[in-house]
Amino acid sequence: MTVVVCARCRSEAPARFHSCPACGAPLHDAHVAQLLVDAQAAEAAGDLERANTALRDAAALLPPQDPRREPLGARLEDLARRRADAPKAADSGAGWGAGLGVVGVVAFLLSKGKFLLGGLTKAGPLLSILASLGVYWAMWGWKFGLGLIVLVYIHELGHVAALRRLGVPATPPMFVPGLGAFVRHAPLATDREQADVALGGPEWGLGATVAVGLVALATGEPLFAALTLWSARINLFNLVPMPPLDGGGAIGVLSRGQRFGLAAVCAVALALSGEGLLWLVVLVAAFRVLGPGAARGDGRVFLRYAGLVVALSWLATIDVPLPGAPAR
Amino acid sequence: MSDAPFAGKVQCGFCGREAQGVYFQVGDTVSCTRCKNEREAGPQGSRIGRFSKALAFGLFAGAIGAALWYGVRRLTGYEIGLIAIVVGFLVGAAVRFGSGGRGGWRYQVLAVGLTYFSICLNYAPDVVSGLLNQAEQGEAGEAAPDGENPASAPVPSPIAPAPEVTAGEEARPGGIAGGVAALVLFVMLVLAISLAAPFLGGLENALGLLIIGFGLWQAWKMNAATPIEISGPFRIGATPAAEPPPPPAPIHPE
Repeated sequence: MTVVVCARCRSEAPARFHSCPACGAPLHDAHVAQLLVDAQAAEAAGDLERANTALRDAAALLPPQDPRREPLGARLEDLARRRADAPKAADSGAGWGAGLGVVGVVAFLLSKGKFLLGGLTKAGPLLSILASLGVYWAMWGWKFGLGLIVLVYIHELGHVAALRRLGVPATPPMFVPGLGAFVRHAPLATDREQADVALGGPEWGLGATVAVGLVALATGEPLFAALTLWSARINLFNLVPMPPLDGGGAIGVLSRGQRFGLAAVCAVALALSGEGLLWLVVLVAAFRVLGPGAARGDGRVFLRYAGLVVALSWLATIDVPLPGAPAR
Repeated sequence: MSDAPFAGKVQCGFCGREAQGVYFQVGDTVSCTRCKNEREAGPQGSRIGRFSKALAFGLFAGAIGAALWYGVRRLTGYEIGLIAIVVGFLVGAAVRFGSGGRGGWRYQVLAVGLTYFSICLNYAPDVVSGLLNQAEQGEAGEAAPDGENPASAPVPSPIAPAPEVTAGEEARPGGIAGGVAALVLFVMLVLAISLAAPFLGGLENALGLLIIGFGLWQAWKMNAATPIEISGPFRIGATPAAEPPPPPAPIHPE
């Protein structure tokens, strides 16, 4: 085991400790300083990926409550924006602008297909999808089972997309029959990043739910109506603010007042929709009001969270016939 | 201002006392030498005592788990698979705590059994109301004239209604004993049906069985016999003269 010595009190500590157990001082400041210099050099050289990696390595060495996390998070956010803009600038002549015909579609599939279908090219994730499909097929028929798998897959892609934007490596979605799916990823630098990644899933899930709902409206096919309802319910359940659910990842960045506001929004949505799942969201959110909230809170995350609850609870209660849909 | 390094103190995560001179890491907990030695030696007391304690803690956690699952089911109208894992976690942690963190196949079997019992116990209120409904339908069937109410054929009820004892009429000998016996029989029947409930749906409840399996697996793995990881000793404070600590690295480039 690697042992480090505290620069402040000279006590020894295992290298995996962030701070000295004797005096509380950060243990890896020298290494952090070196990584920050590396990040600066990489940025100056235009290597944003390397800069991102160095900053994330530095974040991983800081104690959880270290005040330097906030400016580090701001730098990472700035980097994420610049990384997102970089390919757009490079593609501006050859992307969708080049034409929306067959060439455009092929170009889109070649550029995005790996991301969208990445989970189907590896044995583990593919087998997990097939296992889940087998169980759902046996329970509710292949059409509903397949639809459910696709909708959950899109939800997970929302997390993967958020992670990609931040430059954090992630695994393809792994399915667990009866429980859902998950994505594994490297540690995130700040609570804000955690919230972004957590809400990415339900946001993509909401998009998929609306899309399926529109198909249901256009075709009048009860299967799509059933899928709309169940997609909304699954995404709503994920907003219960406790780990390991998505809501548990997002609530960490909310202040106590915002948590209270969230509980109130959920209570109103419950009263208006009568959707039973909202009981869980309301009760757990109310419980989380008692805990220590983030010092400043994050208004944008609050609005995204509350907006998702409202939209999904409305979609989860649309009155449609559900032949063949699973019982609750 | 003194050049001497800041004299820190390390508090033991087990006993709360200050570690003297050195400390250890036991699992994820910072420990003093005495507590480390105790963990190394293993839990004290008899095997039966430890098992009984694990059973008591596990039963308590199981009751909470059953109430939790039943409450969520009634409140939301959904049977949520993740709750099975929560129940498995609660029972597994309680058994682990009760056994002094010992683990092993006996505690794994205990944790799995209690988790299954806890999960099934949440169906008991439904079984009770089902049996009572059946009993009422049976009585209604008996009271109705022949040919009426064909759907509700009278069925033997495990709980016979208590005979009314009017003033001046003596209770029959064995009346109380009979009532107690009926109650015991009823409780046993409810438990038996509840414990069999997950399998009564046959293959149609494959998903339900799978979800229960996740809960049992959680309880099982939490009580595996894993050796305690101990590292150290780590020195507290300075022996050689220390240099003044450097200022924290700034995040923003200058």
